[in-house]
Amino acid sequence: MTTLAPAAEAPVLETAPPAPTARRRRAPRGVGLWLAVGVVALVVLAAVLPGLLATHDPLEINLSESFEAPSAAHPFGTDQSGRDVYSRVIHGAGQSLLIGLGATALGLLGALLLGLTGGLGGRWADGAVTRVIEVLYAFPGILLALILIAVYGNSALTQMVAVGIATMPGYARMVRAQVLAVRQAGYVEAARALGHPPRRILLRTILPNAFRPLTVLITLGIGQAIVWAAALGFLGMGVQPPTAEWGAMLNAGRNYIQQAWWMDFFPGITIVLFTLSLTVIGRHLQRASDSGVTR
Amino acid sequence: MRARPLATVLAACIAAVLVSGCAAPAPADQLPPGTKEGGHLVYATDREPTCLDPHNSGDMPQTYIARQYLDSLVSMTRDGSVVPWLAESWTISEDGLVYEFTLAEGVKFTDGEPLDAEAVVANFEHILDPETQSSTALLYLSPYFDSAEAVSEHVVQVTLKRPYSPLLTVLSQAFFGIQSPVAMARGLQENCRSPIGTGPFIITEWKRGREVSMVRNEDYSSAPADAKHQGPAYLEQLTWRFLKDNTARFGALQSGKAQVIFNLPPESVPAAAADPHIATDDFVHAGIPFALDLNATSPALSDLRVRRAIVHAADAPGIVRSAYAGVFPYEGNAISSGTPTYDPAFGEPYPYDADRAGALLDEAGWTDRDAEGYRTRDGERLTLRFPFNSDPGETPPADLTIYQNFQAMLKRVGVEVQLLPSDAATMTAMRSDPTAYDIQGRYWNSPSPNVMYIKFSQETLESWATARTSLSPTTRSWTAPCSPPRRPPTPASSSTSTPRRSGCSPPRPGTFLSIPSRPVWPCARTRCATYGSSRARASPSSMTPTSCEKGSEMTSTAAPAAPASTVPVPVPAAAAPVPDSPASARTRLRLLALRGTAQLGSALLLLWAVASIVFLLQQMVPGDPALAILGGASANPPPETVEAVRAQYGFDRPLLAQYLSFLGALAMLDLGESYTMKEPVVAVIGEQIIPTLQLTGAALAVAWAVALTLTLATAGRRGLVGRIGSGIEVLLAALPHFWLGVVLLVVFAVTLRWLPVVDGGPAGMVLPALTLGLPLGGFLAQVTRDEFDAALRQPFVLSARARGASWHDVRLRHVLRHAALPGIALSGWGLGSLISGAVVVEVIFSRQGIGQLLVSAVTTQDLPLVIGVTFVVALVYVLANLLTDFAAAAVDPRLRSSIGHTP
Repeated sequence: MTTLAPAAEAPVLETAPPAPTARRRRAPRGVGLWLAVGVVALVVLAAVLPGLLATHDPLEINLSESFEAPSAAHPFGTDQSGRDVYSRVIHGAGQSLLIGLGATALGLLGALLLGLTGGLGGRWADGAVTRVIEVLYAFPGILLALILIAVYGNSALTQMVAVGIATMPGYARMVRAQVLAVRQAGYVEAARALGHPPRRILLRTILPNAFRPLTVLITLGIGQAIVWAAALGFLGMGVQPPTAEWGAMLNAGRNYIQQAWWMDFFPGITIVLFTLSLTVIGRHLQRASDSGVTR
Repeated sequence: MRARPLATVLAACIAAVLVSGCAAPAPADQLPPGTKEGGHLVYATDREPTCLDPHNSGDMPQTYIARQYLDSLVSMTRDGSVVPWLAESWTISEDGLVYEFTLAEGVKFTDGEPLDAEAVVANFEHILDPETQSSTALLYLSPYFDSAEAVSEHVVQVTLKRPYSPLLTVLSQAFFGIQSPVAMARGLQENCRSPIGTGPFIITEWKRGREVSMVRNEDYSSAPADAKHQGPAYLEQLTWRFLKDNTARFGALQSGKAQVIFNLPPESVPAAAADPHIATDDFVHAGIPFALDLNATSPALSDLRVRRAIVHAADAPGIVRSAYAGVFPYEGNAISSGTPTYDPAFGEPYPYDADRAGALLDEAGWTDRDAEGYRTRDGERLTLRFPFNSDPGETPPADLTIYQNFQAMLKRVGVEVQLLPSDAATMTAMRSDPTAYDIQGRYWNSPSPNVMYIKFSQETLESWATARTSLSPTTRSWTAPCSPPRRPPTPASSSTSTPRRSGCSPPRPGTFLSIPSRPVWPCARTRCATYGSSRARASPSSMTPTSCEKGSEMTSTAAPAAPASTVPVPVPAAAAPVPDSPASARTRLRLLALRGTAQLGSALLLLWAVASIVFLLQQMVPGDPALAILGGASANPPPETVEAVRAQYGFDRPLLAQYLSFLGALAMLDLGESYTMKEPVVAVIGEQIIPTLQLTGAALAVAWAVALTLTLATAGRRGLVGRIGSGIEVLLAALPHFWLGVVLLVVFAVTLRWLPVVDGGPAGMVLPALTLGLPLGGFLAQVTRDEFDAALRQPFVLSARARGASWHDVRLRHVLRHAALPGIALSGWGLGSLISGAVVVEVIFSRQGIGQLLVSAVTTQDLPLVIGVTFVVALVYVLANLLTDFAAAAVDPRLRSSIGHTP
């Protein structure tokens, strides 16, 4: 889903004076970055130790307090069963983060396999891999998720696999391109000339260099995977209620939009802020890596 | 199988409705002021019947629709008394065993057959025939019925085995509607599609999954005695539309696409009340209210104390209040307050008392607790299994809330309730297996309190058990308690005969426990306007870019980046531009043709791969496609029919043979026929794809508008302006569709009312296009801005400025073209991702489109439709890429000689 190109600028740009843009390109360590880091840290904390941040039991119903607007006691309001939305959002972080990380990991794994095969194999292998990537791209992600869920049932694992497969082509394309580029690089040739065994060249030289730009991509990819997983939950294809999960909360909240807008708003804005923060951090990393580009 | 709120309306009566609300019926044959005869009414309901012949099965949706085209022997009035209909008069013998009905004369079925005594006898035979699989007959008639005989041309004599006072009430139901014997003789499958009766409307077409179309019976002359109007209906046409999704259905009402809706969702009641164009009608269904039945044969629940404890612990009134947001009142009695002979003295036998519940459970021996706080006895936890139907539209959100609340309340006293979402087939199987569950949620609509006998008597249990051998395993209809609200009083001849239905819950042993109940079902009526219809879909947005490397190795700088919505990717706009060779025009043309062919070839390969993968995946989906074709497990088709269908479609052939013939058909662009809609897939998709394409086109326009504006305004500028622009882009790109759509909807459509909530026209496209387009716009803006900055650094800018061109000129005429290039390349991919995103957006805004088509196709295992939609999306993706190639060439002259080469 998210592949990030390395600073691929045509040669002609190198002749242009870098001065006017340098000021903008230098990664500004401003307030924005710290805020982003803060948000991500909070979410991770919520995922790992929900008890620390949550104020109520996410499953505790309180029928007399249903549909209460945000207040001091319930900063995000309550849902139709009187459950505290804030606590449910906190507890949902773990579930969503798990799926996002899992999906990204799966996607990366697949991408590495595909990309390496394509990049290092011969023309035929490369051609085949390119075709496979294109086919994966052409698949509407939702279809894959639906079919997988129809076959294997609604569960976090299925969601993870579905989203993982959907993110794979993006990463794979990136990996393949990088491997192709790195393969021609001088230091690989040098390593070969030095007589290093191919496996060592692969592991110690090609892989690390091919992987570098991916790190930025991963940061963004996790955010995207979470959004996608939440969208599946929104469709009702995720975790079953009453478990707190962002997507499922959005799904339930949608029905009560006119009465209780907070049920949909707060989980949604949490997702937005989290994705945004990951983006900011990712951009920062990219800028940082740009300035020290290795090609 | 649920009690549904009724939403009905008298069409074309805006003035009357606004002034009088749910007015008393107008005097017969006098149209209310401001209304006129004729017109086309669209009635949107949530559940679709499995068969239009109500003799079969016995599910609620059947009775509502059958009332439009079938008349019954007698009609039941609101207060419970019975008046003549097709039977002008009747006599009952002293011992109550012999009924003689004298039929009205001169009545004909719409196929020309006369309504006579023989026809009525044929109807009785049909309904009692095991082949017809009528659950209604089984429970309401068979235990009592002995024979029916045509004494003369218009006199029918019905003899009973024993006295049965509710007989007339029972016969007034639409389930016992009188059909043409010739039509019935065609066989169940044919009759399910187009039953023939004497009613005010005639069925013209049934588009499964969508609607049933009916036209007025011009010769209608058999209205019941309590009808508001005798003679043919006022309405010329009637469309019975199926909109499962609550939001879509209510949206259809609000936008005028449907004039009447059934089952106004409780969460929409406040909005309906606030809307001056909508009036609601509600009443209490007769019968047993929605309740959670406890299985007294299951080991955990065999102890009476445990059952009592559960009722005490549940706080039913609180649960009901929470689930329905105060819209539906609580009914604590065995039968609802709308049932004739209801007595409030018998309400609430076991009020909410958590302490009492705990004490009872302790008494019963469940004194220990395990690690999670649940009660145990001899090491076993007190667990109750509670399956429910999780198919789309079957368990509305309010009901789900009830189940969850119930689960939570019981957890407080240490009882574990396992909610088991199951599909229709599993539910069916479970119902016939008493060891498979502990709790079931059910209701049972019935015109008379006799329903209690049906539900609780041993006799029913036994008769059902014997019937089981001749009938296939219980179908959904068996457990369908459904509340029959009154049938929509069409200004037609409607009689007030309420199609109260007796549901068909397979009699289950169990303590009666009425927890929540919904006796009052609001209905909603509205202004008259016809429109179209709307649906909803969803999908996550996948942002994957298009490849920048079709066919060429170009440039190593490889990295076709696929942005995810965030980081600006400096896409190598540098597609190695082919130097303008001195080659002649012929050579260039040849090159073009070659590249075009290569492009086409790879596109075909792609489509083939996509189709194959979908075929394989569908094979992995559990379930029988033959069953899906016949309407699903709940339609309960006989095994021979299933076999026949299987042979007809070739499912019994080896996989390879199926695959090859599938490919063959595909090559001829024959995408087959949809299993559920019985229409060519191409037609279905063609209809649905246009709104999606319109939406994505509009969204792309929005995206580009945003991208260009932001870039031109803020790119290349120092300081705050540049940062702000950058920030806006990042923010926009990070907004998920499903959230943005809801926020826009609430702010602009609901609160500010600047735009309509649901609308098929241009006004209704604004918010959805914004929802889809803004995130993409943010992303495109990032890409464009980066390229803009990069291009600004190029020498030609300097030389242009040196020549004396203004900044404005330089930015707009020269730099923009460079900046736009990667954006254009990405638009191809962007269009593809927009189509996926359109699914979510279509759900939120209740729009038509291929998204929901896809979702329902997968759920119902409609293989041809799934393949068709996937194919079409892949096709669009390929076409979009081709288009962007050309667009890029148009913008960048360097690429003109390399058309077919993606930059």
